Amino acid sequence: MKRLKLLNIASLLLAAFTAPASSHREAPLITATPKLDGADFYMFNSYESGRSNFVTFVADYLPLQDAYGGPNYFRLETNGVYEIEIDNAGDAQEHITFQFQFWETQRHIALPIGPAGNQVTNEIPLVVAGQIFATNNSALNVVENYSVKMITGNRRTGVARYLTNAANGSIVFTKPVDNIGNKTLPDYNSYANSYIYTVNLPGCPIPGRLFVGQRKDPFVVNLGETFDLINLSNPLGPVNGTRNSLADKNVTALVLEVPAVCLTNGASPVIAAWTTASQFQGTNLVQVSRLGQPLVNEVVIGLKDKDAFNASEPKDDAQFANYVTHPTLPALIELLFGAAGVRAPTNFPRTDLVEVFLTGIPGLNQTAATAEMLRLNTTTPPVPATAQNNLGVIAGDVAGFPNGRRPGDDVVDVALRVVMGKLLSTNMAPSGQLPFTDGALVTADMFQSVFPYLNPPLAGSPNDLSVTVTLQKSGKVTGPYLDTQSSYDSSSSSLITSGSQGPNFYRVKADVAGVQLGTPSVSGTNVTIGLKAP
Amino acid sequence: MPAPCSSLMNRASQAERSLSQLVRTAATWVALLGVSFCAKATPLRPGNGNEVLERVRSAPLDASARELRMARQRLSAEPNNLELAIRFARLAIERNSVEGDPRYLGRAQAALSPWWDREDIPSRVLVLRGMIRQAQHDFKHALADLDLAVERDPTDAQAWLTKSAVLAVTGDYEKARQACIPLAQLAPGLISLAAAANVSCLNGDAERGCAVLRTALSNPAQPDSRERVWAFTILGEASRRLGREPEAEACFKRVLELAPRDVYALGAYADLLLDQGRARDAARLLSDGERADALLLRLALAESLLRPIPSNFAMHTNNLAARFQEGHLRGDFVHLREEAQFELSLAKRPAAALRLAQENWVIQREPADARLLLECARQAHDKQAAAPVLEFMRRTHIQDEQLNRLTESLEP
Repeated sequence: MKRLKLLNIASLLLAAFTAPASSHREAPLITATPKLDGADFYMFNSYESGRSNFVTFVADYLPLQDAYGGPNYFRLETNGVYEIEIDNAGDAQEHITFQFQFWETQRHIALPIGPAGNQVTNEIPLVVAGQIFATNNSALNVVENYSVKMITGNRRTGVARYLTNAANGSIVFTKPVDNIGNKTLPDYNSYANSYIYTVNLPGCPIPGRLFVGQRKDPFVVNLGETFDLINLSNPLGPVNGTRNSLADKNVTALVLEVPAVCLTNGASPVIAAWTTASQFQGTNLVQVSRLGQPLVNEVVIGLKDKDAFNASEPKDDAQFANYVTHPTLPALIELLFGAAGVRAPTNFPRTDLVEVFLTGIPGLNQTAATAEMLRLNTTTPPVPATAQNNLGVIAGDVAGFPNGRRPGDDVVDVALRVVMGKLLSTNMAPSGQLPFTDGALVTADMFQSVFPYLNPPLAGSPNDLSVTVTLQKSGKVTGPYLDTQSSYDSSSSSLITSGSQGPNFYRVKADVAGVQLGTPSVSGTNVTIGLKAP
Repeated sequence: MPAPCSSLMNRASQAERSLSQLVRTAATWVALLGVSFCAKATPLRPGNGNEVLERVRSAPLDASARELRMARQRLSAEPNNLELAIRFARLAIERNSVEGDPRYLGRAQAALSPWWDREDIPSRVLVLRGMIRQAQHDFKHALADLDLAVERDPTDAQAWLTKSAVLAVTGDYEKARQACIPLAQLAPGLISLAAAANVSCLNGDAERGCAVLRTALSNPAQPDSRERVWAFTILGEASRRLGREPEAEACFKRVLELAPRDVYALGAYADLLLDQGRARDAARLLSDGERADALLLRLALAESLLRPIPSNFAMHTNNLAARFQEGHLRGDFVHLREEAQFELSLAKRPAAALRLAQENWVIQREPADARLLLECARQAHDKQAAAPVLEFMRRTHIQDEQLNRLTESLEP
């Protein structure tokens, strides 16, 4: 017995130098954490009535915004610029650039807190201090302003001049605050629309229009599995069979409408464009994001080169050509749906994809350069929203993707069909004519058919909540806190507490994670604070 | 409150069971390892307090170790910095996957501890928690984490990838395939191809899966070596199941050129060599096998086939037994496959092995788990025990020559 014990102790000592490893095969860590950039780019001949000679650009940034994003909401980068680059010479270099730069203005709104005789004025830690209307945004504590330069020639060395407000000549524009909720913003649509500017463009005889603000994310894609499994395993299912994964998300849109005549160089009606974001590093601007054609960054460019692609310029795109000529997506679709008879195209290199993604369609919007840009023939007559085909060119609607891209173009379905060989003969692409779909539908009638086209953002709406109010004894936010009495008014979704209890700084702690503070207001000795559900 | 009471009772009875199992197995080890070994085991009595009993190996200072150490130092200065914690945890998780040393998982968890149990756990921490839990074979909670992660952020490719891999390990191929669809839209290239091919290779479409992997691995656009390691391992194992042993061996060799210490690949290659009766090659491959139990087991299996039996065999076997004993004390499930294999092939106790293989099958359903359960059922003369695996094979159409041979041997 003694020997057994010693033996086991010896074993345990030895054993301490090996370790139990998991026996199954684990998935690796992905090098970069890839995100759907979400940032999306649209360019189309304006289809709002009476605007057919204009081109509208939409550059979306800050994707995946939940409506309940408080307390600071989604602000654009101030240490950098957002740009829309336009090549009108077919050489994959920008000749016109619209450069947006943002800054914030703090208004330092403060409220008197505490009973008469014991009041302290504290700055509110919130974006808003009261209701905001189209005619009066004085309750807005943080204002985002921006200016837009139109740069001709190289975007860093060319001639830059400011867009000006046609109403007053100002070069300063304002981005409306995000849709915080109906209580703060009783009529968001009117409020936001009051920030649509008519702008004079340098060297352009006709004014354009400008808007920057939060919108409902227009991109529609099915990235989930919260739907019927039969549809999921069947890419040939109904085009509206599944849920849009971004249905409850907002995005921030930069929208600019420019007369076509001020975009082309007079020689060719075709322009090509892309959008970039760059950050200041010292005094230099370093490009961190690039988007032209939808889904190229996501679905075509391999992970290894995503950062390189985001930092690159179209003129250097030969380095990424392999991704287009030898795409992995068709093989993947065959793997996933091979049991249903789906077969990937067999011709390599995929010259059909080169036309769609890198050169443009002959006779429609082809340019001389081989580079990944969104191309648009500015003379293609726009199709009214009610008559648009959401599959664009492959369905005979030449005013749609890939001749530009409109909000209602279902680029996911188009991309699926094109990579599977829609433009190839059946012997090269046995499944090329199948109606592939991700099941998440988008059409033009889901959007407003007037500038800025994208729909107003989803609102953060308050719900009844369980909360605890604590009052702090000292003036600093360090504790300790004391429990105090308060009441909750469910009709106004507000918490009301009396300031007459002595302490002079209020802290609201919700029993539910993610609750956001709404609008504090003082009436007599009462402090009322609106609350928003997570 | 019936639930907590029954839960407590379950735990108590589990502890009791573990203890009695422990005593039983401890006694068996002595019998198993033979009198000669026991007779040699004399207690070590240090002469004085300064005597060095054992030198703990210092961590190798390769580039990734240095990177990990630096990340640790930065995190120590700011333990509540989410970005630093995530960075360290990712490095530690990766280190575990190469070294097979779960102490790195503990370090990753410790780094994430400020957020680990929070109801509002950040989504990126949630994904890492799922990854750590799956590495600890807690597949149920890992999947719950990953489900929540993709619900919160359907654009998180890592969450979809890990979810697909975990579902494949648990034998739920349809859901594993479904998770590849959003992955395909988010992370094009080898990573999503390999994830989908992994499912195809297990689910009756192995030829297509292998063909796609072969093409992708020969693509001039060379992806990250981690992705290649993963893809070559999948192709190697699938080739082995299809009976294409030279291709399988070539794949494993490529993996080990890219990642010489990769525990999983070393194990998979050793399995192939053992199947081929190349015990000496397997033992040579695993000369560093003591660092992880999965490798030590295969080393001991190889040594048991060599003549004369190498002198280290008894120590390795004893060491393994002790590891399993420790595992029982901790109540972990990481060892079930290895322990069943140990009982079957080294302890020669097919009945005990079968029980462990059956427990393992409830948690983990890779081809190796299926094969083990069939082998245990065969040697324990318990054909009924093979029924769940046979049903699984019929349902999933898995293509595996070894499994087919075992199935034939089990038929009346």
